[in-house]
Amino acid sequence: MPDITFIHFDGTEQGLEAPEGVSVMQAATGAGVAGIVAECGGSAMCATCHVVVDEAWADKLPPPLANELEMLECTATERQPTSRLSCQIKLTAAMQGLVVRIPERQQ
Amino acid sequence: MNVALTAGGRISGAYAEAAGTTIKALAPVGDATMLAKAIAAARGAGAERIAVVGGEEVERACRRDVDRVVGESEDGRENLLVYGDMVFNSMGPRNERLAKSTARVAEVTQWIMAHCQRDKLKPNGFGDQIYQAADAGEIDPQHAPMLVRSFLSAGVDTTINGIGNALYSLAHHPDQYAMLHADASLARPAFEEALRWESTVQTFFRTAAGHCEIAGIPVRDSTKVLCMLASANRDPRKWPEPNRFDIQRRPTGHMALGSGIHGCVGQAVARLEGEVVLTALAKRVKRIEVAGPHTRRLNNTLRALETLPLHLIPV
Repeated sequence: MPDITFIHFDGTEQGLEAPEGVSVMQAATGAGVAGIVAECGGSAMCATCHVVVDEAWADKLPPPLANELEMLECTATERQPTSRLSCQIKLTAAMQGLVVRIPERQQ
Repeated sequence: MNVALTAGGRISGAYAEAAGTTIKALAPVGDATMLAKAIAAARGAGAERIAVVGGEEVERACRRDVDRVVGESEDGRENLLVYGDMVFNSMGPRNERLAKSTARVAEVTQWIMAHCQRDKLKPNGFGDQIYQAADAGEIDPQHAPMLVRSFLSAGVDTTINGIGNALYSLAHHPDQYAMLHADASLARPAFEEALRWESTVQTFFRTAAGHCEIAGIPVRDSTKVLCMLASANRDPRKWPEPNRFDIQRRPTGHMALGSGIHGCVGQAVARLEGEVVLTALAKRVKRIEVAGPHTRRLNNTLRALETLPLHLIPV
């Protein structure tokens, strides 16, 4: 069960133990973490599950596919170099300690 | 009380022949036209001002009896309704309902195909942007008119009834509308909950691409599988109090727009339309009341409305 830390826009940190095999988005919405909207339910179609992955972790995740890259152009707040759609990050045991930042808004 | 009557509908075939007109509102019902009866009913119910939306013939027929006639566009956009009805009937059994709607479409097919061509599309509108994408080499030019047709076939009836069903839901839950009126930022989540609760697209088919198993049930190659989206949207294993219409719910993961790579490609547009309409209503209308029984238009796929009489009480 990898632990994930979400850093909210105001700086507060929220940690949770996430099940393997679900996406970071599903872990967040399942635990009621504020700031992840996920309107399309995880289909890489809405760009409202935007997170900025901590630099220490960005290269350790499987890279985004073409559909995610396209949708990352549609985020409500400016795309950062380590921006990802959290619905496309599938959790594995190797992601123990993952840290992501939640942007100011999703819409 | 002010009343607006829309009289833009068209009829065709045997019905039109028997009625002696292609305008639905001017078809006779007993001793008078449908339009005349509707006007009389509105007056009888105490309407002070009556406005009618219709073309030239409608205007000539009722000009003396109403306060205002608003001209409809003559561009034939009502053809989209006939086409959409057939498209969504076609995703279902080969029944009489489908046969009738297919017969009605024969007359409008040419209009539909013509309006997928670049010269009929508004510059820089959605349709024109498809052709611009073809110019830029992003899509095969042969696909451009078909992609435009997808907007017309998949994007009209769905949003019309999505909005209608949202109004139906809010009218039947005045406490929920009161919340929306108090906070217009609830417009988008309210539309989302109406999508879950009413599920305008009730079902969708898929075809098994090989022998497989779904939830432990063996499914053979090429089997047509009917996905009951509306049923999933009321599944108590997923939704606490699934039958409750709750605009604060945030129904992430509902199936009204599908999911995955074949999820509704127009969902961003649909949500935008819902948000815009409900936001405008929330700001200007303090209460929505049911003004009479509604009627449904039956369709093999859609939960569609024929009529939805409402009182909108302004702020």
